[in-house]
Amino acid sequence: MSLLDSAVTGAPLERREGLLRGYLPVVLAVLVLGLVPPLAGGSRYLVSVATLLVVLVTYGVAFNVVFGGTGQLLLCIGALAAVAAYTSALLSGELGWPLAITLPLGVALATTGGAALSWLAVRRRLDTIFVGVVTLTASLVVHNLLLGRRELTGGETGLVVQAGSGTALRDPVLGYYAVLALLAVGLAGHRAIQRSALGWAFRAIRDDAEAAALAGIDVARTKVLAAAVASALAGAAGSLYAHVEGFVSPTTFAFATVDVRVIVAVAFGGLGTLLGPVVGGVVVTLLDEVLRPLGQLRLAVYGAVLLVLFLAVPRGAVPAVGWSWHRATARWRGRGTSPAGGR
Amino acid sequence: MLEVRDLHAGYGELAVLHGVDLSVGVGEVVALIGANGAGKTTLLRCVAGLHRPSAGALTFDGAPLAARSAAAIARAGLRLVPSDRRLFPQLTVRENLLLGAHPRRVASADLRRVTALFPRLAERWGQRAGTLSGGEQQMVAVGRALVGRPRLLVLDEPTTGLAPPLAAELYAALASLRTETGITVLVAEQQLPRVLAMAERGIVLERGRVRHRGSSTELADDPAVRRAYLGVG
Repeated sequence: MSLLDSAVTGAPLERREGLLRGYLPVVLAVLVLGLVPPLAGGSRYLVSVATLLVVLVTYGVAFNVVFGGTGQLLLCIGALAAVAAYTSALLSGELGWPLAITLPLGVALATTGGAALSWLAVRRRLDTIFVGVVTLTASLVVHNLLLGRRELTGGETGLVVQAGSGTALRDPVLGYYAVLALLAVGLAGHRAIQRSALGWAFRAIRDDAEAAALAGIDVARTKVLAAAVASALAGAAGSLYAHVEGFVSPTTFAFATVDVRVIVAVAFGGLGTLLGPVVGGVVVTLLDEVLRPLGQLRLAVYGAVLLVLFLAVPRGAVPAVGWSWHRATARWRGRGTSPAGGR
Repeated sequence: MLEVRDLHAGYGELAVLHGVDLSVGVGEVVALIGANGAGKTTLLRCVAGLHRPSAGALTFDGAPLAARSAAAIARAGLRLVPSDRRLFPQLTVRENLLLGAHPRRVASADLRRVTALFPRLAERWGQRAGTLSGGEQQMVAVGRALVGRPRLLVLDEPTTGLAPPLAAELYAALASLRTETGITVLVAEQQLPRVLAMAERGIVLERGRVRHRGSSTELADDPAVRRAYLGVG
């Protein structure tokens, strides 16, 4: 099993490769992203685009764990991030609490919220599309609360985040490395899940939930756990981003800003794959930047380009590259065509 | 080991089981016989925790099953192999088997036992379960249940859709499993001669009620049973 192969198929399900090789894709991805600030040559603009990219990828990893892992369509990644970020901003602004308390509290609140939504969906036996409807509704509720409670949240103008001001987080480059560190934790965590018994449970549930239950896998518990992990990561990413920027607004976390990009990035990169969100996030960010001069037309072109990409690589770019690699190496060894386990 | 008392179950307005009593003792093989629509599958799904009965009591090893999830029942040692097999189609034979003991790791001795029982599976080891033939899928399903070391193996029409030679192969494997391990089995079946050759006792279900019960020889000799299920008499 090649390194690329294990990164592509997502779950080797067994410790066939050593610890080093298992996490090598994570290390490489983080190292490459770590080169951005020195290569940006002091451009604040590039660093801020890269920061947003890393945050988007982290959201993508969270969505990938919960949707790619257990098939729960959690359409409230942005809302969960908003809950964590606004909690921290409000507690520090109104009560003057320090970052060390407000950030974990916000993340805990987002985690609880995401887990509660998942628990509700599991209890009510909602299928994928209804989980999507319920969580999308929750997203809209959060968004409208942020807009409506303007005496507290500042409405659409947003809020200056007190916590973290004067710390290293406010330095653009150090702030970038802070969000990158969180992404590293997220990717390594996803890898660890893939290699663990929990990863097995994910694959089983995704394939057939009833069969998983018959094999003794606690489907409800596994799903809620996946949602909690994803919500914690999304909340942490949103909150950290807010502290790096020093400012939060409803647009930062709006469905159209966060969730739409996350879905596109993960679907393009390859659902359930370790590096899918990284590849997809980079592509989405590049598209965003390239198409920026087009103004209003941007969204239409953006959509058309994505449509073509989806038609060309329907299961995502990372798996597609993996298959070609696998096929090429198989032919090299004279074993003929694509492997049976290609998925 | 398993006690079913006055079990009623149905789907919405439709009542399927009207007070079924059934018990399976340690080490026994009990056949559950009945035509399509008799309620066999509903009864077994209730036992496995996949369907909630409307009334009645279910106990396994003296402990009530009502409040327990399907996963908890499976972990307690009661494994259902449903008639539609419910494999993980995207996963390989090996991966399907390895999931049978989740979250424990499957002992390699258990895997060897399964491949000894079903040598075909060794040939299909790396193949995706969804691409196997019906008979091979059934072998994987039984194997996946076995690596979980069940104390009660519940099989729902294991030979449905299998060609006769494969059905014979499957029953031969089950019989040898039984001789080797003395495992307790509850098996629903329409093919009487095969199942009665293995079972000690049988229960005949008709439209949600127990119509006959007795030893395998009694059932095989019963004119009414012969007429209904053997096509002779």
